[in-house]
Amino acid sequence: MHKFMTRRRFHVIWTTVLITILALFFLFPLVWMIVSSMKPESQIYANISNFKAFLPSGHISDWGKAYVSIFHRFPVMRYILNSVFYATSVTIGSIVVNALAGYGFAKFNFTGRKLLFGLLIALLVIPGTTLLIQQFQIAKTIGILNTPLAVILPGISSPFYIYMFRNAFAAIPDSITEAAELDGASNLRIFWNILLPMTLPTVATVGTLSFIGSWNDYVWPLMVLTNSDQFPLQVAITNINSTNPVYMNQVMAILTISTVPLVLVYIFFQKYLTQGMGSAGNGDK
Amino acid sequence: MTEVDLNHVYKKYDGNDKYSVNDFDLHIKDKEFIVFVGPSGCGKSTTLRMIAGLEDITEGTLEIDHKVMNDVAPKNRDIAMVFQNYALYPHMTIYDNMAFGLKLRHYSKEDIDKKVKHAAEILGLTSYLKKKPAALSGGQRQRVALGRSIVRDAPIFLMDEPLSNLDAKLRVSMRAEIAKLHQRLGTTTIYVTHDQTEAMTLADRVVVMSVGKVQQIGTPLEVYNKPKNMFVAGFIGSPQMNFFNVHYKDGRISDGKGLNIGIPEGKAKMLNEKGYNDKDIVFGIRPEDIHAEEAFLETWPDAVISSTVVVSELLGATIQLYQKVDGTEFVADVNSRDYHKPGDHVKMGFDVNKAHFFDKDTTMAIYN
Repeated sequence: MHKFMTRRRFHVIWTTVLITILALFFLFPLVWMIVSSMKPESQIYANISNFKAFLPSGHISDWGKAYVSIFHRFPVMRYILNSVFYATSVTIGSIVVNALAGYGFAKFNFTGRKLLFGLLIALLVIPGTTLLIQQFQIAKTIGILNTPLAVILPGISSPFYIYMFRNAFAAIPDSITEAAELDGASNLRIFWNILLPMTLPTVATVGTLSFIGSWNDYVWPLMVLTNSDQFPLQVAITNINSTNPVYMNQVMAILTISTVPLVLVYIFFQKYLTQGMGSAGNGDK
Repeated sequence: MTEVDLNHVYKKYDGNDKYSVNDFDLHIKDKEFIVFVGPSGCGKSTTLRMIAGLEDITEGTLEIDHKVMNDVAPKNRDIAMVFQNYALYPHMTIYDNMAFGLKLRHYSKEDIDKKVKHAAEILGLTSYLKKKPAALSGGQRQRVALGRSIVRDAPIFLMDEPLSNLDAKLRVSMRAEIAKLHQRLGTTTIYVTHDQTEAMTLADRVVVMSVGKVQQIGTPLEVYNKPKNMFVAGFIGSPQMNFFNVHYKDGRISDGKGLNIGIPEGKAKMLNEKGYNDKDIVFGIRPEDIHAEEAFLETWPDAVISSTVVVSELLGATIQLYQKVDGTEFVADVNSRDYHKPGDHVKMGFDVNKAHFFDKDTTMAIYN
């Protein structure tokens, strides 16, 4: 028994050390980005080959300078608000549209349901980039280029999210929706009052992934927007990175700003994310 | 006043060749407690779901209070239903679970509060109203499901195997609660079960079903004492009725092996009148109509057989003796004073006055 406990303790210590090292590998660029935004540009290059690369400037007054400068040089606030608007719209749209489609596949019998769902699954293997040109043509044809709609609409529907919602709803026993039906609920009421609250982990997962996906999207907004006032942060960063003079600490500052919302969203929804991804979204939980 | 009429109702699922429910014809009276009973896949739940509107009716009509309801949506049929797995909304409190249907029907807050609290009081759920279903036991959850039906004041209750998920002890107490509830509310109730004990104890009338067809409709005593066919005779009663393939001739039945007994004059006369003299028939006798007491054996020496005990199950007041007579197995439910252990050779007397006779080919009762 004692031997077993010792072995178990050793196992725990060993895996913890390994996971910590692995986490440090992933954290290192992030830490370097943040501390680099908190020191003068000259120090970034001076410290690059020693451990000081992971320390901010020794003078606290230097820490915010790059941030103040970047806000003076570029309309960063506008870019942030644009990104927040696009990402929030895509997130809400994604939850509503994909959940409704998942509801249809999970709880309604209609001709061609299996075939349609099979096609949807097949779409999962098609890389999004191969559709960019066609999507651009469609956006152009319906006349939404250079409008927020061009950024938001194509980001809403996703076969993967439909698949996730479909699985989550299918795991809820039909008797629950039938009980609601007999209670007098309409299909929309059942969706809104019964199914969605019962699949919150899936809602949170799809919401978080949609938000992150939209926030990080670069190529598509670049293609459909030409007016820099409408640029989201990611597109603006490229502009900032290529507008002379380019200061590395300011670039790092804008990168840090663009990362903060993602970290916050992740921290807030982490609990649901692991549930939503790790389970079939069993509504009984 | 709520009556339900199922007029020659059929159900066939898409892609199936056979009907799942075949010519179901039944008039359910106001305040009646009807139980559909039968083995799995007999169509009892499908029929119930057709009444609820959760399944379409392929042929025939469903009438509630003489109004055809075939195309009426479930929510407009004013029916309350209790499901086997309770079907409670797990994210809502017990109060909200019961209030949900009332809110959708635009009851005032005061009315909802009054009705929910009243139902909770009837079912002993008052102290659980703020809890969520996950915090309740199986029995309590099923009571909430009943409560959800009660608050609606729906004129028809449908119950789809509501006690199947409960343990044996709880099932007995909940059964009594359902019976009390029906006496108190007098709501027309249709109850589906595969448990013949539930059917016998709860029903005003029992509908026995098999492979999509109604086998017999009658009061519990009727289906028990006068089964129309071998299926009903075998399904109702536990342990089930014993059947012997016998030859009947001139007031005696014999299986050509160890069973050779005389039958009373009245019964023999009826068999003769129906033209079964010198023919093969099926002889059925319930386990409790087989006796081991000395007094019985002495009184009816012509109805006694010798057999060997294979298994004996002591249940307390009675003992079930599984026996063999020349290869044919049967079971007797006798007083535990007549205990015998496996391997014992015993004499058993058949109370032939309570015997049942069936046509060998049609399996129908020869007379009732």
